[in-house]
Amino acid sequence: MSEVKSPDVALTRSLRGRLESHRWPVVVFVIVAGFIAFSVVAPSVGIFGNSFFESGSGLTLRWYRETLTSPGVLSATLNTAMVVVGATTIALVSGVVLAWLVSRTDIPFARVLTIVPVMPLFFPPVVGAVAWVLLLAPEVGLINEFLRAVTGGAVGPVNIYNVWGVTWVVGIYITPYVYLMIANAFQQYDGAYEEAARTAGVSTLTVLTRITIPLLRPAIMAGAMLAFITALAQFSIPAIIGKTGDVDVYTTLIYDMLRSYPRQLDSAAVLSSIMVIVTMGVLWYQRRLLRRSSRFVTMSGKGLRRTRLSLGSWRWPLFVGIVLYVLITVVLPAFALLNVSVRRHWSATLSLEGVTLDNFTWLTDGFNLATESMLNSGRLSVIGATIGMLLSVLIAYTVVRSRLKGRSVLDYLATFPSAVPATVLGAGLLMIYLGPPIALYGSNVLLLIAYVAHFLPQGTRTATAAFHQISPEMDEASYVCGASWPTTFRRIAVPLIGPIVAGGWLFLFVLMSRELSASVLIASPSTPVVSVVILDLWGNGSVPQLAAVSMVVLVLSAILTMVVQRVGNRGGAR
Amino acid sequence: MKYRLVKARPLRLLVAAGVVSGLALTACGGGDSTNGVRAEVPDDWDAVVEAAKEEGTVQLYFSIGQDVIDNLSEGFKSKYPEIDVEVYRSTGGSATLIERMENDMAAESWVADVVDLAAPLWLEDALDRGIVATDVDVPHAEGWDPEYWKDGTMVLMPTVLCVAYNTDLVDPDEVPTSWEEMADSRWADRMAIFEPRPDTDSHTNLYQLYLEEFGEDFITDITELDPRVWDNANSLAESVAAGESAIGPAFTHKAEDLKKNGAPLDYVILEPAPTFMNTTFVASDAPHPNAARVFLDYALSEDGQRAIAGEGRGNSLLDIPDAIENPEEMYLPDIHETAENYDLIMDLLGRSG
Repeated sequence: MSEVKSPDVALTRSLRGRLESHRWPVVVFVIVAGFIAFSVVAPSVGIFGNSFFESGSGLTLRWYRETLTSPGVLSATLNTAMVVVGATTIALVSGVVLAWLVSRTDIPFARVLTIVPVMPLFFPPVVGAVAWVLLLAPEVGLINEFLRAVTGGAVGPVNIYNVWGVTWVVGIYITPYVYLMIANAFQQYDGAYEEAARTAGVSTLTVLTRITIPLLRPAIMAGAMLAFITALAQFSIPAIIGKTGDVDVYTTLIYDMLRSYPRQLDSAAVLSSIMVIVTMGVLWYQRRLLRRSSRFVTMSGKGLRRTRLSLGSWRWPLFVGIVLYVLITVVLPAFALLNVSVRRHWSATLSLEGVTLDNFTWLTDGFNLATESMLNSGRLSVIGATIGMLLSVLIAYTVVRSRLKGRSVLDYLATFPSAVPATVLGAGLLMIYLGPPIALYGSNVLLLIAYVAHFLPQGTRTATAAFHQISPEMDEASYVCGASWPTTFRRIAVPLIGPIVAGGWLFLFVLMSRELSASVLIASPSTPVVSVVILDLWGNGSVPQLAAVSMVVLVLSAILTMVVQRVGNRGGAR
Repeated sequence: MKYRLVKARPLRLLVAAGVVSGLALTACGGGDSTNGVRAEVPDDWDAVVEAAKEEGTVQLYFSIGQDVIDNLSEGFKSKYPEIDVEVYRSTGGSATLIERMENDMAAESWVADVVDLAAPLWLEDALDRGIVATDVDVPHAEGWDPEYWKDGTMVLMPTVLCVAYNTDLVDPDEVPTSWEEMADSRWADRMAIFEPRPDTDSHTNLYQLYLEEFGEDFITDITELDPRVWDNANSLAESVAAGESAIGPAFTHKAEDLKKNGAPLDYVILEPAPTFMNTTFVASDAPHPNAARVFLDYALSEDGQRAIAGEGRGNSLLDIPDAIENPEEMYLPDIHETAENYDLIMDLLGRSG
């Protein structure tokens, strides 16, 4: 008797086939694995090996013993711990409060205010660090001058040249990273629970602490972890402020070790390896948290409620608070830079006398390395962000949605670069790809590889968070209707996460355009990048020229950020 | 007196300190040079100039100030419009420049034609390794004191340390007249200093002077004045101009530059003046060996020196009328001894390093 398939059975089989098809996920896997092996694993293995290897006697713990007992390393360990913990706390508190205020409450001008939390991103950290020196230098810092005028004191009162100064500035400039990580979760979760609580007469503060924060715990924790890792890897702020305050952290110490002659490669490798291990621990913890986050999914195919909580009498005071936040983190630093950019030397004067545009005309004065470096950084960042985001979305989709057996390995691979500080990545890439057989030094390709690899985890995390917010039932519905994997990816996944991906692209662009720690090691004369030129100008004592370059960078990235934010918002409203 | 004083013959001690020993070792050949293939350099100078124009480009790897490089390049281009000047000016001075050259070498893509840096220890090593072309002979070398121009290595300009002070914050009668006054209690909470550097340059030379002349306690006394510490003399000078500190050691050319830009800043040269001789050489594997020689020749010429030091831009070893006046006594310590004292100095300054 011949078997007759019922249409139902055939459909089920075909559906299961699509759901379990491994062809595309395998392609993604191979591309990503190859890229990560090439760009991150090989350099890190080189660095790791260096920390345990002594030529002549083979494996050794000597470098660890010698490095970790040196007084400089001991004080750097303490400084690093203080900066990381302090800055993470600052960034987490500001990030969560800002995200909540602008996306869940009836704060005045909420729509306009959504730009506020990302505004500090206008400043590359190296620029921000200089701006804060201009604001908080004990004698001629503008804020100190103002405070002295008010209080009548003789000196200070605030001194930026210490570990607190470094912590403060790092905290300010990693807050947007935390915000971007958690903002989507805040915007897109279902407000039904909050509404129910409010209906039952629960206060706004209680709603925030008892419902909103616990519900969004995975996103908030992920934000905290990102802040921790970013603060740990921060190089430019301690490099500028910490040098004068004698506040060395691991990254600046590694950088100095790599730059000394002869190079202290072994000690640098030891510190790098420690940073990698600590970061891996944090990532492991983050993963554990995210693994249990499925029970927090509150976005579904059903329409979601996005009512805003009433702040009552706190509405305007909190609005003023946000305005102050913008004033402190954006307006004042920008003003300090602008003020110096029209002077002939660093000066705290605010007088209009002697104001000059010379530093700006210098930028357009024939051949100018600063201008060339801006163009090159822009070019690198557009290409890098596009490649990076494309890879990220493919990785996230494969990890979150496919049933490929090795998908958790793929996820590990994609997060691996964040365990490697940029300074170490730069050194490792140099070591491996300097000469034949694969000589990449001196080309933009090496910078591009470093950028895409280093920021892939950020892109992937954004994309993964996005997919976590969408219930799989939509994919399944697509498969039920007969769509293939590429079609489902393109027609269902991409449009749903479109706004988040646009935000992710912006995120990668701004990160890449300001990258300094790796660039300073691998940028060559023919491939100048703007952050390195800015650091150079600082070392040269050319503060007015530095301020002029920074103003241009600031205006460009402000425009870009707002354009992309607008695109993102429109996508979200669709 | 323990420290070495040099009057108008500053290169001698640098040479005594070891540069020449390196030269002697490599005088007969290129050692393990990088690319192997060396372009032809004709014997006749006119032919060299013609070949240089043919090459069309000279790549500089310089660590001196951008303004000095700009002037020098512009002067050169106006004289040799056929030869384009490509400049790599390093971030972080000589250390970064060395890093870059080592990278280029490892990558087997040496690109530098003319190198300028302040790293005598590395230079010794570079001479041993045959990185420096020692067979360079250019017409303008004739006019130079052989002490400053030896076997392809020239002193482009001396970098002289002075004491810069903010004229709004320092009374005329407070201005120091000797280095000894730099540890005076009147500078408590008012002074800026810089960190020494492990690769020994004029930063470290100042502390070597302190050690030799006044002993370790002198540096401790300075530390107790709670000075603001910078990692670079140029940033320090800018901060004195801004009024962040009242006084601090600075390079004469930076102080002049700030003065010219209207900063409330003046400077005084205290004798003996810690000086550093930036060394310039043609690379033995220069891709444009003829253009490199023509450029070096220009740098040695009066025109070149005027471009570097004229109008108060800097110091010169030639007699350039409007250059910054050289100190009576230049202080040039032994580079090895100075390098050995780095840790001690950092310790006395209470810096973690």
